[in-house]
Amino acid sequence: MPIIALAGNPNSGKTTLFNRLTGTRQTTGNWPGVTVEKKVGMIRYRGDILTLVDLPGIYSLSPYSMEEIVTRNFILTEKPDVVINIIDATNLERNLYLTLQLKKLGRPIIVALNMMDEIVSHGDKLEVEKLEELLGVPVVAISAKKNEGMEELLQMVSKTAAIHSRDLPDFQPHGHHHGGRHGGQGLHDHQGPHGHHNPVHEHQHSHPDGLTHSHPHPVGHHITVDHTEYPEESDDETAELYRQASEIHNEVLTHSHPPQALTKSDRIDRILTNKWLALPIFLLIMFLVFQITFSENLGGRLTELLDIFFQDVIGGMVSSWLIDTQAPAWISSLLVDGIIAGVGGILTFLPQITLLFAFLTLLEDSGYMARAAFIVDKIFQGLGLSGRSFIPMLMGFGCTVPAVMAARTLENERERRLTILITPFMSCGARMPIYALFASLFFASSKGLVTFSMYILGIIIAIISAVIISSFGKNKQNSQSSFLIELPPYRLPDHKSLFLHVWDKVKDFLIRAGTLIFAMSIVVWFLQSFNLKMQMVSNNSDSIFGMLGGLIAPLLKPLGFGNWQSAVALLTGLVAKESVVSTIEILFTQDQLLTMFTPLSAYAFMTFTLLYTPCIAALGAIKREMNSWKWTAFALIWQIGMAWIVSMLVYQIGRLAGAM
Amino acid sequence: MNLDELKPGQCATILNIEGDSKFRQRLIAMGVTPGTWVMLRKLAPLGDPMEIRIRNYSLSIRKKDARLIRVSLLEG
Repeated sequence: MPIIALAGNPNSGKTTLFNRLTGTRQTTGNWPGVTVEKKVGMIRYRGDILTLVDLPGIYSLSPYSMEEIVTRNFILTEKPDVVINIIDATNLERNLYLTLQLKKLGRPIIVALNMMDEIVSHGDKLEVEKLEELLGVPVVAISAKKNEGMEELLQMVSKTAAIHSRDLPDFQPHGHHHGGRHGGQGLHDHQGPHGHHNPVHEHQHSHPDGLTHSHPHPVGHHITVDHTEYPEESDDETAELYRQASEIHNEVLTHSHPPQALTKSDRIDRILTNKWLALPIFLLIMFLVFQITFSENLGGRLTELLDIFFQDVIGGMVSSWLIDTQAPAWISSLLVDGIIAGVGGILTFLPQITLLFAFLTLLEDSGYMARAAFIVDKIFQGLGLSGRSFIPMLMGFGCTVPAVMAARTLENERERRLTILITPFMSCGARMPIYALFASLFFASSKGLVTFSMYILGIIIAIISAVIISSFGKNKQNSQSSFLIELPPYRLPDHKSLFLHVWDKVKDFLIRAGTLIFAMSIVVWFLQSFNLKMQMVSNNSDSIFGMLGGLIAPLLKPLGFGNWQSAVALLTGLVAKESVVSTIEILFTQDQLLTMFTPLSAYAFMTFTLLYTPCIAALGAIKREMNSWKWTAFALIWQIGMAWIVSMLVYQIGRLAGAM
Repeated sequence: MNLDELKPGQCATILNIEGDSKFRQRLIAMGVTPGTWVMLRKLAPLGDPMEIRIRNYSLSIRKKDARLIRVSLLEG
């Protein structure tokens, strides 16, 4: 099966093109040994199946970042049959620099000239044929967002893959610059299957078997690239490549406006990054995202409806059916108290996860996220972080796992570590149901405020942690942070990419609910329904969990919730924080909850759940990103320590202050 | 003069970049090379970082990094 690689700059529309070409037929993983995301998808084209590998978005191949090394190694050792190099036509010069570098790696390249629709609408003129001629590789004009030029691109890819699938590894892309006239004829030009064949290679093509040959580089065939073999470019060489890029750019592109003219993006930026308006607008946008996701009228309301659906409709149906069929008590207990309460309890906050990821994707794809980082960078500088730490931290409000992973975009090691350490204090979506449960029972009149205070507390603890941790490492922090990021033009996000991205997260969440949380619900149900002699107990406090919780409970006494049920709920929360709610719903009736907690101890409990380790998955992500057990252990101890200290302070100070 | 001394709207040509080779390579990869035309677009609302226009796109850079880039001011 031919392997096609997709390479290009960040913000070039690479993800959109990848989604266009592969649809939902994609899998996400990691490149071996590094923490760079690897996406692989399948392209079906006229009966052929091609594997498309999405390489990380990079500006250059100079091996300084993990992304650059991954890209370089993949192209050199896996020798993809074709490298599609997507370039942003509206940012031609800088994109061409990577193209020229990629060309030097010696694999067949097809340039997908993206955003051609914008060139046209700006009134600019880009001569595709000339670009093809100057680059010496095929160029296909496309608009990934508008789904234009896909047919031409695939045709060119499949042709090139067929030609090159039996080439020698050291093949040089000579004979490519024949007759330059491909997709350049226009975006709407859907040519026939043999529209532009290379006459020189035609005889090698049209061999169906050639396409289904096994990949010439079997799994396990790994060449470690020694960087001395591929010496990095000197400043002069880089400058020379840029000079060429600049020359090509000047030859093929005619601007209809002078370079200083304001673009639409600039006009938007006049407002959004305006000296006075930027911060208020930033806060307003964050507030709106938060409000729509979590408010009682939108996200919250949906959650409530789902809750009614699971607990009353499904739960009620199942239990009446069980009564009708006279099922044994333990089965109905397992189904209703264990599985429906546990899994259903989690699924109820699916709408909020979906909304939050939709907003984050919108902000990212529209180009605002980079501005947000630009606006707040100054604030983070003081904490030893950068504006880019803002993105993982914001995502932390959705889910800690992708948030910790998002810290990869920070190039500076120290900054990245610090961001990873404080991101778990951002209150993730899984903690929401805990606040919702306690706030509505104990703070009915000020539910929103109490919940909001949790988010603020999390941010405060994150700042305090950042200050403390970075003051420890001060003497050895000579690696300076910087903030060198592109501010891409504002663009309307593509709905298909938005959908796929959100679906990816929702799927992940559903799989977790269906597997991990399903299993956990059964385990929790078993541990709290049986004793060590494997007998079903009628009173939960006699169960295995009762015993375990009893051992831990005294440690929680100073925090105001020294009962075994709370201890057990917190234990199950380590596996997945959502489980705290399901465990509490299994272990307590509502009346019991009201007698076991006071508003103050309920607040202390919420504080504890806010600050202690989000879940095993988050800890796993931290381990993966830190690549160090020492730092992972530090993170775990820091989180639990912070949780215990702060919630103890909340309870003890609250008592002194005379709250109940 | 250095890049951080430009005023919003002013244009300059890059003369050379100081700093270690990793820093230089990162800047050069983003197209910040000697001889290139650059314009200071604006400062972030809190005064730092700054937004520059180079090679037809916008790049954000902190003042302390811009201080390592020597430029010659273009009049007009």
